[in-house]
Amino acid sequence: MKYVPILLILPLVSAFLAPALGIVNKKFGRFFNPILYGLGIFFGILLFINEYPESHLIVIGGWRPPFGINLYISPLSYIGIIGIYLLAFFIHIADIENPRSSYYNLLFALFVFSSLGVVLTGDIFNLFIFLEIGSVAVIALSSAVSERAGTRAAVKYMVPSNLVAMFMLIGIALLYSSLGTLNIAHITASQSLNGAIALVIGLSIFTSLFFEAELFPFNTWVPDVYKGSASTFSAALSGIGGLASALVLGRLFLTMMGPESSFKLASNQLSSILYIVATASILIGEFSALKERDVKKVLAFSSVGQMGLVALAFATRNPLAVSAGIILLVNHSFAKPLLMIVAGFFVKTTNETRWDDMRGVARQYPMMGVLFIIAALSLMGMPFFMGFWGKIELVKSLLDGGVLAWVGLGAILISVIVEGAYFVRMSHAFFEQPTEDIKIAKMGKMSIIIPICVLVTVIIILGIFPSIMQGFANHISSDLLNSNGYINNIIQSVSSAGVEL
Amino acid sequence: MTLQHLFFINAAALIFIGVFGIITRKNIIKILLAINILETGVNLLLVAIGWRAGSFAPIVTRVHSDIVNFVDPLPQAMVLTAIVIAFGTTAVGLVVAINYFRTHNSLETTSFSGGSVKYDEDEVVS
Repeated sequence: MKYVPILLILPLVSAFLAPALGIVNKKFGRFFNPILYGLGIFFGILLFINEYPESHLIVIGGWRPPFGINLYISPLSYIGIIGIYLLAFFIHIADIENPRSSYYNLLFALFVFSSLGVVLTGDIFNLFIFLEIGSVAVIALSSAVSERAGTRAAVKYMVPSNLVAMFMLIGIALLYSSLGTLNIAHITASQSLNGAIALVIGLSIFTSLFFEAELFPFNTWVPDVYKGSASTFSAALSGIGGLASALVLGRLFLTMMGPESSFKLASNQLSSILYIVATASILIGEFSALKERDVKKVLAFSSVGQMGLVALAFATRNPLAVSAGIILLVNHSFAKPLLMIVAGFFVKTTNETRWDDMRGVARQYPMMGVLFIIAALSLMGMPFFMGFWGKIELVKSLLDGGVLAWVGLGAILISVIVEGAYFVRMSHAFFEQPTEDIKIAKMGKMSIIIPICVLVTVIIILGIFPSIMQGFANHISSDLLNSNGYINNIIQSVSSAGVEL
Repeated sequence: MTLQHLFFINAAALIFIGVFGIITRKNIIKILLAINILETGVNLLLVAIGWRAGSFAPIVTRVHSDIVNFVDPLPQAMVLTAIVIAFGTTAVGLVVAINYFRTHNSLETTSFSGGSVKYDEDEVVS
């Protein structure tokens, strides 16, 4: 357990060293970053083998919670840590042939660090800091490659991100003035808040989480940032950023604002709000994707829809639905980076951005096309792929819900058809016989093939043997829904150690 | 009306001005200024919630060593952190503004959507 803080600070090591040693050799960050991510995977798996599925409290600096900041290791964090490091490693490998400055590598490491921190931390102000660090990294990275489109994307991200961060800080201030604590477990265990205050606090914290999780109505930045930044960074944003933000949404909504917590008087209203937001995200995301022709923007809107599915699963507070949501989240976190990397490769080879201008590109690169189709099928929820198991479980558990659950169910069924329509059209266009001569550049692709083959292997294995992922997802869902267990693991272990609360 | 009420009113006013500015202004520098006004408002709110009537600054001296008579120091620590974060985001925002001006010859966000400044819609970013 001693090495958990090391897991968190590994990306920071490379962030500090990359610019300094970049002076000596420009290739430094390019190879040093993946080595550290590889170390992260190693330590993560070591932790997993030794401790899973136990939950542990990690005290930082000897200050026991609720007085100091704590990290919390639970089934959610095992999946979060390993998933984030795996994605960071393979996305960096896919990016390794592009000339990136050491500052780019620094910012990428910072982004990975903030995502890890968001998953691990047990303190709500600390969470705010990690989200801010992440948004600074995203602003800089999205404007790093393209001067014009990227800068526009950065402005579109920066303004609402500052606004929602301040809303979250107001929420934290109100929370502190009402309960006198910032520790998430201590907040959960405190006396019940007044219903109206709880609703205001919940909403102001939600704004920031919705923004990070690409949910409506804070999703205006998504298409521009995905289009304006390098496709590998878009892949990281959808994979790593989506995974971390959805997990923390689950932690705050299901554990901290659960029906047995201090938010119990507002927990039903917050649930209804999440239902509405999730349903709107699914419909708006999928229909915008159907209308869009820019390949990266299509994938961006599809991300909005997929994150809506995950949020809908959380809104039910039903253990089966939450575990289905986790499966859908993991599916999205592996399939979307793959699609993004392949899309970036196609954009590069054809020098076009619209998918209807890319006709025939997969005839030149058939393997890429096939991998693209496999990931798209998994996102659509075709049988024998990972997405199928998530969607079928979610639909089953929504049948037991109220009116809002039925509306969400309708949205899911519509989204399956719409998703099918645009992914089939895109895949068809890639394999179609080109009507006019299009120039498709030939380029080396080994560094891209290896990562996407790994990602596709994960998707296929978890799709053929769904019980593996279902086991993990059930553990995570019971971890998220068990507010008392969370409190006991953090606060009780402290009180038994002789600290008075 | 106590000092705390004054702080709350002030904070609410600054937060309102900030949100209003972010929503209505079109110049990136002005938006950044509005963001900073909003941040100042939130910082005032944080300081105000830690204040207690008749208490002293949370510094142990020979005169005031009884911790019961101190105001809550934690919101002040949070404000310090929030100021540092705000400084960082503002610095990044200004760099983005410089970049935006360099590439668009304008600081107006209206050039996003068919405004006075045209931009190449189909820029290829792989």
